[in-house]
Parts: sequence; structure tokens; C-alpha cells
Amino acid sequence: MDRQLTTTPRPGGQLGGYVLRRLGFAAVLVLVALTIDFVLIHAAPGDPVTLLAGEGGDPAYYARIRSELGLDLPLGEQYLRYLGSAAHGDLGYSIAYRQPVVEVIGARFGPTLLLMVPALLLAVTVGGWLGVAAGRRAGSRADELISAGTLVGSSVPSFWVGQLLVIVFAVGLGWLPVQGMSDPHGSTSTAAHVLDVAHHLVLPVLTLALFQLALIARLVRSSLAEVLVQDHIRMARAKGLGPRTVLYRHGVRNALLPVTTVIGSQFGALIAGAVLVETIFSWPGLGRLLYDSTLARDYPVLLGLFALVSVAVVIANLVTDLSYAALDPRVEYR
Amino acid sequence: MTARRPTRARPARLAAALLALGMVLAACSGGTTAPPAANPRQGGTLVIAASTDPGQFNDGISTAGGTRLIAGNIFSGLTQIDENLTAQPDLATSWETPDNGLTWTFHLATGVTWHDGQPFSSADVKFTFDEILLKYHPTTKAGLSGILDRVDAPDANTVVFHFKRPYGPLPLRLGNIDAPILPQHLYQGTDPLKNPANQKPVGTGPFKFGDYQPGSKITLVRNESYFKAGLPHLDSVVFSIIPQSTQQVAALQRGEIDYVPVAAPALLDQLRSAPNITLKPTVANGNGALNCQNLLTFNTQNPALAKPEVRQAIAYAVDRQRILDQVQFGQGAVSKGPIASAFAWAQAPGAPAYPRDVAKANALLDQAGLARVGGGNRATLKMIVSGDPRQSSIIAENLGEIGIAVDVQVLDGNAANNAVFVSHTADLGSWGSCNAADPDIGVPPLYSTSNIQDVVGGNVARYSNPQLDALFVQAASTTDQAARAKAYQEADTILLRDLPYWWLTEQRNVSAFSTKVHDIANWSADPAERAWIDS
Repeated sequence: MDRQLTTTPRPGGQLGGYVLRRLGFAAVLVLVALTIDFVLIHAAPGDPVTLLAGEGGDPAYYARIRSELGLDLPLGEQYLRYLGSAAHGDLGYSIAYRQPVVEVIGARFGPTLLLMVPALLLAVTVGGWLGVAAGRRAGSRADELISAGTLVGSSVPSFWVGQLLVIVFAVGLGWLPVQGMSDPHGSTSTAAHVLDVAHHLVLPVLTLALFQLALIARLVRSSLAEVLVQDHIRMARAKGLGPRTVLYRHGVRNALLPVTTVIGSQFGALIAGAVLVETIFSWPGLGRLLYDSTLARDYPVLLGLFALVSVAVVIANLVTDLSYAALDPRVEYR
Repeated sequence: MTARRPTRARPARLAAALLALGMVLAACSGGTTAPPAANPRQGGTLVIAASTDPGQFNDGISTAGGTRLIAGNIFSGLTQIDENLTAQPDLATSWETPDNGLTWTFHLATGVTWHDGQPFSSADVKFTFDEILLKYHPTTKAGLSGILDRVDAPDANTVVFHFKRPYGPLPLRLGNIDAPILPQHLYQGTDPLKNPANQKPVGTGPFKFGDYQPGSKITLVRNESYFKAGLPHLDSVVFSIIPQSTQQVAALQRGEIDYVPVAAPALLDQLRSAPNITLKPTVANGNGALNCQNLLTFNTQNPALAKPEVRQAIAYAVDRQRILDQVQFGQGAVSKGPIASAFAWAQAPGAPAYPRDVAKANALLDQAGLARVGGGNRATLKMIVSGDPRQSSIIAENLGEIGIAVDVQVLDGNAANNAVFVSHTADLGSWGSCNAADPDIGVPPLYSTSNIQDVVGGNVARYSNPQLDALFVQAASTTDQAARAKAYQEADTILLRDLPYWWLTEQRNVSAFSTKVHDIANWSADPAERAWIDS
């Protein structure tokens, strides 16, 4: 990474070249990730052919399906063929869904975004607010409460939290749905459908957001507590600036820099969380698709998903690095 | 001989089936029961829990359970298996065999149309058998291709099956699980594995394909032109894909879904005390497979397990009652042998039994020359299983008592099945084997010499006994119930003596549904044909 701190503020210097180089590096990274994924998937025990055929059958039937799926070719040839078609935007044909992988994945993209975007927003806003509330008066009762709460929040596994929320809010109180993205009985109008989906979003978003929220709160808290005892804060107060200005312009803004790095690097973790949360809540997104495709040994879909996740993580990291310039004017890109 | 609805002439079997049903009902007396149907209400949507995303809907090319659960409502068979395991009319209104099973003639319902409006005829049946089922359907291909000479369609409403040797139980394997009839006009000249109709199926069943949202739900809508007058009652059936059994039950309790085909045994107590839930026992496993048993597989390529005494010792050692109580929560029964209790007429009365007896097991192992090395273990076996690890834990503990160390590896279902059946890397494995609607459908595949092949559900024990093979042929070659019973009882005795597998428990499941739902056929792959729902 060619990020350098200089004494001359030159926000966004030589940004275009930097982004291009990073994208080139990303392409190599994605290729390496795909190669490792390809080897791992085929090394794992199991066979999609026996799943497709169901119980019974005979070796000739297995061979026929294997040949139709191209799984009878040597592994190296399968790999080269896959890379060849992937380079042309063809990610292959799903073994389980018997549809092009691009269509299978495309249909699941929306539901996952619908889950991840609110979860990330919730984690950043509420987590950030809790972190500031705790960090501005380190050692206070509020700090102790928030720190204890976020410690628990970042420690409990999401599948457990999900089940607990279902037991309390869905089965016990009956306020929220147990699973799914909409009422399978159907909605009467578009407005009712939107409300229905929003209703179904609450528990999975809370479950997915909890860990990130707690993590961000803890980071903001410790980062802010460190910044607030530094000399420039004392100087700002001595200059007679108001407490809010000191806190937000001089404290929080400086404290956000390490937090941004972590939020960006947590993107992969958020996707991993989506696999669990979407499975618990029967949410028809990419995470569920990854889970189902793993059980079905749907190699083309798995590779397509890994490629997508690799690209998404690389882009998230790039965006994180670029956002440094906005937060810290001293940063220059070369 | 002429046999219309032939199984009605089998009182012993009917009595056995009723007895089994009675036992199941008694076992599940805690649940409430829906009031009998008065006037079925027309309309409404029934939401059914589906555990897996089917991916495709053609059950003519696969026996995968996820596909069957949906496809069973779309496609019809020539016959329909009822709750007493007898064949009832479906696309065929009647049938007869003039020569004791060598030729079977089926008379088809008239005025039947496919969901796309095309007329249905005997040509569709012939095409489905010749081009789809006998080539692609795993169990029908295995069961019929060797003995079926040809299928003829002499006129639009008649289908004739000509066998190379008499075949008695044919009507029972023509239900829509083993023989769904597919439209010739959509499949002819295509690759059935890649036909787009697999994603948008066109059948003759009570419900038409509506919409598929992968990972979420499948919607089927009423077939207004269904050939059975007045059916179905429902406007639509929605399959909500919910992988976790706890979530299925929670969704049922909250009214998000109406029907859980198989409720997890661990959750039954919770459901018994829940309001507005009906529990109904079934010998089906949730997608139409009937009379299933859990069994322990032996890899007889391991020299120790090749010895019958060692397998008998394991049989004496395993505490099957504990498995029934702690793993199945009492739902089901300890197995008697290869033949499920629904077919008590086929079970041998005096067949060898292996009540738990650790001392006897140890003596058998000594006799087999499997001594304890330095007072330690006699042998170490690798057991590869999937799913609930409690059963394998109990088995490992029990075998530990007789000096056999068991190294248990838990994998997912596909990997475990491949390790046990295909690569044979496991010494012990677990398997659910279903007898289906007739022993001939489900029993021979695990024990026949002809099925010693590396396929999931094949004869993994590599057990070969010409006498047994002959008995299976004998039992299937007649419609005479007494002769069939005699052959199966002999086969039962042989298998319980040789123990190529150890049959642990019988599965009896419990369906759970809203008290608003009536007349649901929870044993069937076509559960909603007659179902109706209160407003």
C-alpha cells in the first residue's frame, strides 16, 4: 500500500494512478483466491452427482450425469475451462438450480443488500454514538455500562442471539416474524408488501448488526478516550472552544481514523455473519445460497460466490483507504 | 386372474397396516385431533414447510426428497398410495392382470389435460417409462428395467405393461413418487436433465406450478381443470423453505406456516402444549417415502466385520431401546429386522433376535478370534455419520463395552453417504432405508447381489446370497399373498441370521399443522389434493 503521511496537505493527490494500481493488484488477488477456492472445494469430501441422482441409481447413471456436468474431466482442465469462461463473464451453470450461475447469484443479491446495508448503518450510527457516549467520560458509570454491554455484544455468537430473539420476540411476544423475507400467505398491496418486508427485516438486521455495533462502540470508545487526553484537545479547550466543538471537531474526527480501517476490514466478517443469519432466519440471500450450495456441492455457484466476495472485500478495502483522505487531510496517495 | 385394486384382496396386509397405524396413533395420543370434515371450504392458501430448496421440480429424474415434496403435487401417477398402503386410482381408473402379473393392463381416466391445456393420453405414459423413468429414475430403473419387457399403448386410454416374468406389486410402484407421468410434448427429443420444464413443470396433478423464488418459496396454484371433480379445494399451496426444524415449528406456532410434514421429535412436547396445533402420526418421512428404518452399515471389506459372529456381537451390544428413547424421543419402535412392521405379514415369526446382551457379545468376539490385545481393545472401527451425533455416540459407547473402539466422524449428509457407499472409507455408517409401499420396492436393493455397486443406497455390505436373491424374485413374481409372505419370511430369517446390516429403529414421524387445516394426506407426496382450510 502506497499510503504516505506528509506534512503538506494534498488531499487526493495522484488518486487516479493509485486506484488503477490497486485495481490491478485486486485482479491478481481475486485470481489467487479463486484458485485456492477451486482446489479447496474439490478437495472437500462429497459429490454433487450422488445428490442429484438421489438414492439408488447405478454407476452408469452417475457417469452420465458426471459427464454432462463436465465433472469427469481432469481437475486441471476443469480449472482452465472455468477460468476461460469466467474471463468472458460466464460463471458456468449451477448444478443444483440448473440455471446460469450469474442468474442464480443475481437473484440473491438484493435480499442480502437489504439485510447488510441497514445492519451496517445501524452498527455505525448506534455503535458510534455509544462509543462517543462512553469515551467522552471514560471511567464514568455510563462508560462502565456501555463497555460491559458491548463486551457481551461482541462475545455472543450470532446464531445464539438469533435464536434468542426469535424465542422472545417472535414465539413469546408474537411481535415479529420467525423467518423469511415476507409472509408466505401473500400481501394485498405493494405498500403492505413493503411494510411486511420491513417487519421481517427487524430480527435478522438486529442479529447481524449486534456484533459489529458492539465492536465499533468499543473501538470508538477506546480511540476517543485516547484522543481526549492529548495536548491538542487541552489547547482547544484553552482557546475557549465550546465542549461540543472540542468533542466532535477535535476529538471524534481524530478518533474515527482507526475505526474506519476496522469497519472496512470487517466487510468480510459481515458477509460471514450473513451466512449464519440468513440460515437462521431463512432469508433468501447470498449467505443462504452459500450454505445451500455448500451442502449441494454446487461447485460453480460456490466459485461464483467466492469470486463475488473476493471482489467485494477488495473494493471495501479500497474505499476504506480512499476515505482516509476525506477524514485526514494529511494523507496523500501515490 | 383379474385384480382390480388388487391389494384390497389382501386382508392380512391391511390388518397389519391398520395395526401399525393404531400403534402410531397410540404413541402420539397427546396431540389434539382436527374435527372430521363436514363441508370442505373452497379457497385459501396452505403454507407448507420445506426443509430444502429443490432447485428443480422433475422427480422423474431424481429421488431427492426436496424435489419430491413439491413435484408430488404437480405430477400424477397411474396409481395413488393411500394411508393403508394400498394402490388407489389416479391417472388409471382401473387395472387388471389376466396372467398373474405377467401382463398388466391399465385403463386411464378420460378428459385429462396437462396444465398447459394439451390432452393427456397413453402415449405420455409410454414415453415417460421408455424415455425418462427406465433411463433416469434411480429406483424405478433399478427395480423395473431388468424385468419389464415393454410398455404398449394400444389406444389412447389403455397402457399395457409386458413383463419378462410375472411381477405382482406393480400397482404399488406406480404412484407419483416412483412413477410420475411427464408430458411427452415437452420432453420428447430433449435432454431430460436440461429441459427447461424441470424449472417450470407441467403436470396433470391438482396444483399447477406458479412461481419459484429460490431460497424463499415455491407457489403452486389450483388446477382448475383437474380431472377429479371438485378437487382441489385450495386456491394455492406455498412451500416456504425453512432449513431449521426449530424455525419450522416456531413459524407454525406463530401462524406463519400451516403444515410441518415432520416435526422434530425433540419439539413434540412443546407442540403438544401449544394451542391450535394438530399432531398426526405418519409412517412417511415428510416427502412420501414410507416405512423407513435406521440401520447400521458394515464395511465387510474390513476382515473383522466380514465375520458374521462379529456383526452378531455388535447386534447384541447396541442398546437400541436407548437410541429409540434418547434420539427419537420414543417416536417409532425398535426394529425387528429388514422388513418394517407395517408388513408384519412378511416378517418371520421365529427369526433370530438379538436382545442386548454384553456377555454374549463378548463371547461371540472371543469365538471369532478377536481377542483383547493386552487387556485393551479388540479392534478400532471408523464410523462416519451425518446429522444428529447422539446415535453414533450411543453406539460408540456400547461397542466400547465389548472392546471395540469406535472413532466417530461427523460429516454432512452427502460427504457421509459417499464415504459409506461410494469410497467405502468408513467401517460403520448409518443409513435410513425405506421399505416404501411394498417390501419389493424398498427391501431388495440393500441385499441383492445385482445391486453390489458403489452407489448411495446400494448393497454396501456386498452381501451375496443366491438363495436370498431367488426368494426376492419369488416374492415379486406372484400376486398370491400367501406365497409372497412365505418367501419374505424365509428371506427375513436368512438376513437376521447373516446380519449384513444391523437394523436399529423404525421411524415413525409426527406431522404438525394448524387446527384450521383439514384432510391433509400426511403420508403422501401429494398431501394437499383433498386438503382444505378454515377461513
